[in-house]
Amino acid sequence: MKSASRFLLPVSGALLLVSVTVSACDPTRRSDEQLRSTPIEMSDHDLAGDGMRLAVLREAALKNGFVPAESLEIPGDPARQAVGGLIFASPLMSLNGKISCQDCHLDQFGSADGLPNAIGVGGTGHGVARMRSGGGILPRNVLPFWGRGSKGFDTFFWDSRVRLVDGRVISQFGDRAPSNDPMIVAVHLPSVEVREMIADNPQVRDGLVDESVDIAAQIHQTIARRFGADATIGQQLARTYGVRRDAMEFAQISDALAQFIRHRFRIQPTRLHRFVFDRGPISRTELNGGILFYGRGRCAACHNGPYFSDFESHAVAFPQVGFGKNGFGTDEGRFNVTLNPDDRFLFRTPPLYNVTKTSPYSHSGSIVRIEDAIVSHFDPLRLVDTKKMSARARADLYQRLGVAARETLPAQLTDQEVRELVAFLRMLDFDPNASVPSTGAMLQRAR
Amino acid sequence: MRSKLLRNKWLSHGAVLIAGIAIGWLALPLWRDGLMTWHQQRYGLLVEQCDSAMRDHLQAKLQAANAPSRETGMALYAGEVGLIVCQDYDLYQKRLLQWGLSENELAQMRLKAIEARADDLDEVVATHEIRF
Repeated sequence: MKSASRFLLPVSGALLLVSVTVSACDPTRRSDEQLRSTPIEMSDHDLAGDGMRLAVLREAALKNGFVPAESLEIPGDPARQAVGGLIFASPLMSLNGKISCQDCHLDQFGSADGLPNAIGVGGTGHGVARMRSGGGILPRNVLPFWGRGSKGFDTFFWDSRVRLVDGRVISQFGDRAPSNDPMIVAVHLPSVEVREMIADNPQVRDGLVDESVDIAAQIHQTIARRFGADATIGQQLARTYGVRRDAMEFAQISDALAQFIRHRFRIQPTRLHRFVFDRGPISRTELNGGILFYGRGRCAACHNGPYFSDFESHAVAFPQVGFGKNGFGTDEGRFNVTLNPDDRFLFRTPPLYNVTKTSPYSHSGSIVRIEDAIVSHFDPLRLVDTKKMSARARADLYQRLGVAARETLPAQLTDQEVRELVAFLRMLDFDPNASVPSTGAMLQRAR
Repeated sequence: MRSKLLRNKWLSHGAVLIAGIAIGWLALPLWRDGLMTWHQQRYGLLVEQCDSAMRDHLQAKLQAANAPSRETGMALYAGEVGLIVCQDYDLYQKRLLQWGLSENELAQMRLKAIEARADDLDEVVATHEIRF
């Protein structure tokens, strides 16, 4: 009896110590990994805790326009999508026949190119090799393609230079827009953009650069003829569209390309879809991130709707890299399209599907980490060293800060909260190759 | 040879009880101090975040009343979702109460949180001055 009590005393003492330590410790101090791996399931008896948060997140997502992925798809013709895939990968799309759409829209970079500024005509290779290859620099970050042209996605490019307003396409084609479909109008532009798919040389500048719709039509017709003459693509186009190869027009090229992009980069179900519509699992970190996204983070003020974009123009005082659309490291964004001074430094809200795969971020690709992209929204000065900037660069920054300060600003978030937001954004990732067949398979299916 | 006093059960148990109470009495402030130190940072952050969320919510509410629109309505909704951090604050506070901290000690922690952000005496005065 005596020995038993001698044994029990230290054991119970140790147990008391352990229980005090464990209970007094803050559960939120657990490591991010531990938190991330903790799945939370809805339980009816826990409505004041996690259950309430789960319900709030579902409701907030729906209230802010989140819809099932399938409802966004515009059905297309498999044969047209297949030939569009061939056009997407073909350098015939460029006037000098050396650059294709696929050169800058790559799977491994989430359908972008992984570079801060795009490298257009003259560039070779991918990634850093492309940056060093000496191609023409385009002063903006390549946009990924997720959801482009699907239902309601009708505002294109960083500066919204193509958009649907009251059923009418507004673009630089003016009243001679080649289509009522903004997606088709958008695919008309890269092939006539100097440095992007047209070499910037004296011949081009003297012969082609006059900002006229007629010159654009002339270039498009040349490209269409080339595709018509191509043994594989020409034949496929002729069969699919029922036109003679020597009568091929850019209307067929652009339609096929638009159909391919719509299908290949369509929104597919994500973990957030499963969570919202099928009561799927979510980790505590993701849940916290979701609550922040729709709550204190105020992300949904602009990143709302089916694509997590309001398709409006807003300002975030991101650092600027490269020479900028307006030179001297300045990019005045939407102003370049509207010439309205109120639009200076505004850019279209980027959609967020697969966003974690599309680094670098911002219109000039100045931000490498997605965490920093979030920080830029509420604490932009944290990311710049103003002492190392030129007076001109600082003056530009002040202007961008002024515009950005008028936006709906998120609460100051801690680094942990920023990581939670990123965990939530990862719920918007999906693997496009999970259900998308190769172009070859699409061609076979079409036959 | 054990002393007679130790062999008296009532006496020895009473002595242990008194010693226990004395130790408990002395240890309690240390325990509370330890709790306050350990939880100050997290609790202070929640105080600040809840305060900020409440102010954001008020702004959004006023904005929605002044200029009703879908945009201001959604901003108000975001403000309401943002108030969840106040529940975190409340739960955390109740947990500290459960572990033995008093309202006075929690008030002390809140003050520390406010004053930790105070850049100068003015903010401390604003917190403490009597207004009439």
